[in-house]
Amino acid sequence: MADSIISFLAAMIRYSTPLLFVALGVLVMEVSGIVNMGAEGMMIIGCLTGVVVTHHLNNAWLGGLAAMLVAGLFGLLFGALVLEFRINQTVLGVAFNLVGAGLTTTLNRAFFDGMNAGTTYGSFLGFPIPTYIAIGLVILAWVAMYKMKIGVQMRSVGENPVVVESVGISVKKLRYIACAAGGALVGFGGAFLSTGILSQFTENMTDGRGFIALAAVTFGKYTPFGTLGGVLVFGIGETLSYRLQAGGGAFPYEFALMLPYILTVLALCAFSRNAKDPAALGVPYVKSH
Amino acid sequence: MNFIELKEITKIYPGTVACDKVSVGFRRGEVHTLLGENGAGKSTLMNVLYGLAKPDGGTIFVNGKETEIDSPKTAIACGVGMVHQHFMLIPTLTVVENVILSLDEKKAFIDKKRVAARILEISQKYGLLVDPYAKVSSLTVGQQQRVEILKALYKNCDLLVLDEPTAVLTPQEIRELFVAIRNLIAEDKAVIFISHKLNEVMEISKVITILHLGKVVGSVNACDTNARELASMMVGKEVSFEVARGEQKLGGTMLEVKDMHAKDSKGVETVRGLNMQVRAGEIYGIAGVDGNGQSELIRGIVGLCKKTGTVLIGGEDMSKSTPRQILDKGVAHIPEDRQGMGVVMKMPIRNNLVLDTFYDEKFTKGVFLDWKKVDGQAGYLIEHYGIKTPDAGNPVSSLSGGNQQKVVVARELDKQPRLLFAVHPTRGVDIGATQFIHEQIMAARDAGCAVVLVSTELDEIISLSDRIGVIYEGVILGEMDRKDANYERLGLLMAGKRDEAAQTVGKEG
Amino acid sequence: MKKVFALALSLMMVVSLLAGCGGSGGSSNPPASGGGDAQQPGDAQTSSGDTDYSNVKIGLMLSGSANDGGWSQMAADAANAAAEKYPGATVNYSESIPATDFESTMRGYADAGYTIIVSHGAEFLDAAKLVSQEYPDITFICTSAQSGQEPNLTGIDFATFQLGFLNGVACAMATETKKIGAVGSNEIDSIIAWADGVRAGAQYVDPECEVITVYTGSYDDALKAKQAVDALQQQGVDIVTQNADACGVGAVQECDALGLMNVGAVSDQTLLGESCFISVIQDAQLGIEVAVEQAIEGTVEPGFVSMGASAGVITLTDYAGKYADLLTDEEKTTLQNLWQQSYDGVDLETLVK
Repeated sequence: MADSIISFLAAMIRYSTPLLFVALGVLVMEVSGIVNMGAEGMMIIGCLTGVVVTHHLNNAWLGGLAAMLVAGLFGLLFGALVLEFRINQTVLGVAFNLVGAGLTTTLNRAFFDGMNAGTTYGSFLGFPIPTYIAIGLVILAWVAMYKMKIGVQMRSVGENPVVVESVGISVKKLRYIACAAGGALVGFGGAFLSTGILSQFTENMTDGRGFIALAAVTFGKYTPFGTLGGVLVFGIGETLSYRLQAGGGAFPYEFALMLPYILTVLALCAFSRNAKDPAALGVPYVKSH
Repeated sequence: MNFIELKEITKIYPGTVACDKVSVGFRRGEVHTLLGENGAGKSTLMNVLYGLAKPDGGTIFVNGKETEIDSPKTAIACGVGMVHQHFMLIPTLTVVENVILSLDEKKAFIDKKRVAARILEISQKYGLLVDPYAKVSSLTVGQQQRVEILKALYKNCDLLVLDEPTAVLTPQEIRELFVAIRNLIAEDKAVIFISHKLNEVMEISKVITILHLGKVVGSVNACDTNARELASMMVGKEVSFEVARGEQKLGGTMLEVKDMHAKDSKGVETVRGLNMQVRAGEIYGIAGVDGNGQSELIRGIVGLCKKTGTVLIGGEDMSKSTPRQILDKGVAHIPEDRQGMGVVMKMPIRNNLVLDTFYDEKFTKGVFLDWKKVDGQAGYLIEHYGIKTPDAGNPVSSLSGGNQQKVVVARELDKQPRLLFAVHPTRGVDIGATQFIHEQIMAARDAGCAVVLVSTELDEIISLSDRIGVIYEGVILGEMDRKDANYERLGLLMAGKRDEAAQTVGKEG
Repeated sequence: MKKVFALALSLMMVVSLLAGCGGSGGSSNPPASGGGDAQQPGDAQTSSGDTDYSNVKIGLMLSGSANDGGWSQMAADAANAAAEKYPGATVNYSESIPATDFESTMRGYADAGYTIIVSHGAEFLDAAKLVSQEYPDITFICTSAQSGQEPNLTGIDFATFQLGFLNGVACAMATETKKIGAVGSNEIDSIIAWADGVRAGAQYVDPECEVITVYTGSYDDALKAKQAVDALQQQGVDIVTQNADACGVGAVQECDALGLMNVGAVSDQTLLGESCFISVIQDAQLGIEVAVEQAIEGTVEPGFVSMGASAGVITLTDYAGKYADLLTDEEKTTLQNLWQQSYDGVDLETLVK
C-alpha cells in the first residue's frame, strides 16, 4: 500500500514537471496583468526547439536554454503586440496557439521528422534534475514576489499600472520583463516535455497543457505555491486516470480520461470561486501623459 | 520667503488654455488653498508643479532658485509630495509594500521591518496612525488617505499637495485630517489644500488663492474674507447658498419600507432590518458614511438587488416587482454611479435622454424609434436643463461631470415623478451645476414629489432636506426634522454614537 | 498601424492553418474542381498493355489534408500509385470533408461519372452504405471498416485482429509476470479489434496470460502514453504493446526508462527505443493500393474484406534492441509460423478455441 502511494506520488510529480514550468511562466505574465492564452503555442515551440538543439549539440541543457530563448522571444513578441499595439490579449493568445501549432508542424515535417533528442537531463534520487529546479523556482518566485522589489512592482503593475507609472517606474519595461521571463519558462516546460520526459517531438504533443496551466494559476489565486497546488491537483487526476484504467477493469475509460479535467473544474469551483484576478489583468494600458 | 514659487505658468491643451500666466507662491508653515471650480486649472497647475505636465511657459522657483521640474522624481527631490484625489495605492498590497513601491530604491531585496519602523515613527510624529502590515484594501478611506500622506512624508517632502482630500471623508475623519495638517504646519512644512468646500477652506487655510477659467482671480488671507465672497470669486458671479424653498404641500405616505434586509455584492448583509417612511412633498435626507447600506437600500427599493422585507410605493406592495414595474409607478432614480448606472457613456446624448422612456408611444412608430420625436425631446431637455453641448449627437462621455449629471437629472425629472431617489446627486459636480441640480430637486418637492436624498455631504443634506435620517450599519439610527439638525449631532450619529448624539439635543434643549 | 498589424496577424494565422493543422480547416472541394488531378501524363507508355483506362475515374474522400504526412496522405499516395499502373485512369480527391458533407460529397462524385469512390476511414462507412445503394454500377470502397455491403461496397480492414494477435503472441512468449499491457488511443472499432487480437494471441500461447488495456484518449500526446505505461507497471505488467499513432512513442520510451519489454505495432517501432524487440507492421497504404487496383480490374469483392499477411499488409520486422535475443529460436519459429499461416489464408481467430 505504502509502496503504491509512493509510486503514485512519484509518477505524479515527475509527469507534472512540464506543466509546473508552464504554469509558473503563465503566473509571471498574469501577475503583471497580461493574459497569456498563448502559452500552448509558446510551449509547443519550446518542445520542438528543445529536441532540435539537444539533438544537434548533444546536450539537453543547451536544448532547454535554446527553447527558453526562442519561446522568450515569442513572449517578447506577444508583449510588443500587446503593449505597443494594444491588440486584444485573448485573441492574440489564440493566434499564438495557431501559429505555434502550424509552425512546429510544418518545420517538423519539413526538416526534423522523427528526430530523436539523443540525450536527456541527469537525474537525482530518481527524479530528473529539472523537477528540482521547478520546485526551486516556486520558492524563488515566492521570494521574488514577496521579498523583492521587482515582485512588489510586478504585483502593482498587475493591479494598477497608473500607480506604478506615477512613481517613475516604466510599466512597459516591467511587462516586457514578465513576457520574456514568462515565455522562457513556458518554453523550458515544453523542452522538458520533449527532451526530459520523452525524447522526440510529436505534433500537438502539448495537448492543452497551456490551458491547464491557466487554470492552475487561477486555482492558485495568482500565488506561486497556489499554482503548485493547482498543478498537483491536475497531476493527481491524470495519474489517477491511468491507475484506475490499469487497476479496475470495470472502470469506463471515458470517465477515467475525464477525471483530471473534472477534478480541476471542481477544484476551481471549490477553492477559487472568489479568487480575485489582478485588477488590470487583460486591460490594455495607455500612458496618459 | 516662498518655499516654492510658480511664476506666470501657462499650460495650453488643444482648444483650451488650462493655465494662463498663473503666479502663486507657497510658504513653509502655512496651509495655502487653491480654490476653484472644476476646470479652473487647479489640477493642471499641480500637475505642472509635480512634473506630470510640461508647462508651455513660466518658471518654477524652489527656495528662490529657478528649477526645472520635468518628472515626478525631480519634484520629489525638490521636496514636493502629492496626495492625489484618486489614491495611488495598490489595494492588494500592504501599507509597507505600497510605501516601498513608491520609494523605488536601488536594492533588489526589500526590508519591510526597517520601512515599517520608519512608517510608525512618522505616523506617530504627525498623528497619522495606521498599521504598516495591514492590507490597503482592509483600510477605511480615511486610513488609506493617511497612507498616501505617509508615502509623501517618508520621502521627506516639505510641501504636501492635498487634492480634494475631504471629498471622501466622514466629518470625524475630516477632523482627524485637520489635526494632522496642523501637525505638519507645526513642523514647518508647507501644505497646498485643494477644495471647493468653503467651510473647510475657511477653517484650515491661511492663504486662499482663487482660480477661475485658468486665471488667478485673487489671493486673500482667510481671516480677511468669508465664504460668500470666496464663492462669488470662484464662480465669477453672486452665489446664494440657500435653496429657495416653496410652501410645503405635505401629502400622504408615498414610500414605506418595513424590515428590509439586503446584501452587498460580497454577500455581506449591509441593510439590516431598516424601516422608513417618506411622504409626498417632503425631501427625506439620508445622511451617512459611505458603505453603511445606502447603496443596497436604494437598489433594493427600486428592484435592482435582492432584498427581503416590504416596500410600499403609494400604498402598493412593490416588494416583488421588477424595476420596470416600479418605474412605471412614477418612480425616478438618479443613481449613485453616474457613469456606470446613470448614462451610457459612449452613446449619444439624445439616446441617453430617452434611455428609460424610449419604448413609450411618444417616441415610437410601431416597433421603430421615431428619431424626430426623440430629437425633439432631447432638444427640449438640453435647453430646459442647460446641458452645455454643441450637438445632441455627441457621446455623453464628451460632457463634463456636471453636464453628465444634468443629463440624468433632466431625464429623470422630466417624467414628473411621484417619488424620486437622488443618490449623491452632486458628487463630483461643480458649484454652478450643484446649485442648478439642487433647485431642480427642490422644484420637484414643491410640486408634491416625495424625494429620498442620499448624500455624504452634510451641507447638502442640511440645506435641502425637510427631514433627515442617519443611516448607520444598515439601519436608520436616528431621525430629526430640519430645524433640529446640526453638524455635530449628525456627525455623531454617522459615527454610530446615538447616546452622545442624544446628549447634544439635551444640551440644546 | 494597428490595422496593418491585425491584417498581418490574420495572415499569419491563415498561413499557419494552411501549413499545419489540416484537419481543422473544414473546407471541402467540390469533386468537379477537385483538389489534385493526379494523372501523370508521362506514365502512359511505361505501363502495362495497350488497354485504355480513361473511363476509369477514381474519387477519393479524405477527412484530413492530402499532404498531412500521415493518414490522409497515405491514401492519396496509394490511390495515385494504383492509378499510375493503368494508363488513362484519373484520381481526384476532396480533403478535410466535414461529417455533415460526407453524403453530399459522395453523391457529387457519383453524379459526376466517377466509377470508383474510395472513402478513407471508418467514419465514412454509414454514408457509403447509404449512397452505394443508390448507385449500383459504381464501386465503393471504405477503408478501415469492420464491415461492407453487397453488392458494390467493399469495407476493407487491414487485419487489425491479425496485427493484435501477432502482438499478443510475441508478448506472451516474452512475459514473465504473465501480465501484458496494451495501450490504445481511443475505444474505436479498429482499436477494439486490435485489443481483442492481443488478448487472443496471448491466450493462444498461454491461457493464464492477462492483458490489461489502457486508453490514452489522444493520438498526439506521448506523455499520456508514458503515464499509461507507468500505471501498467504498477499492476505488474512487464511487457507492453501499443497502437496509438504518435502517442505510442511515449509508450516505447517509458518502457526504455522503466526497463520493461515492448512489442511494436503498425510501424517499425524498434526504431523508437531499445526496449522494442520486434514490430508487427501494418502497411495500410499497400492495402489501399491493392484494393484500388482490384477495383480497376473489377475483381474486388463486395462485403467485408480483411487484407492481412496474404496481401502483404501485415509483416514482421527483424528482431532488434536489447531484447533481440530474448525469445528462443523455437519461439521465434512459432511466431514466424503463425504469420505464415495467416499468409496462407488461415483465419487466426479459428486457432483459439
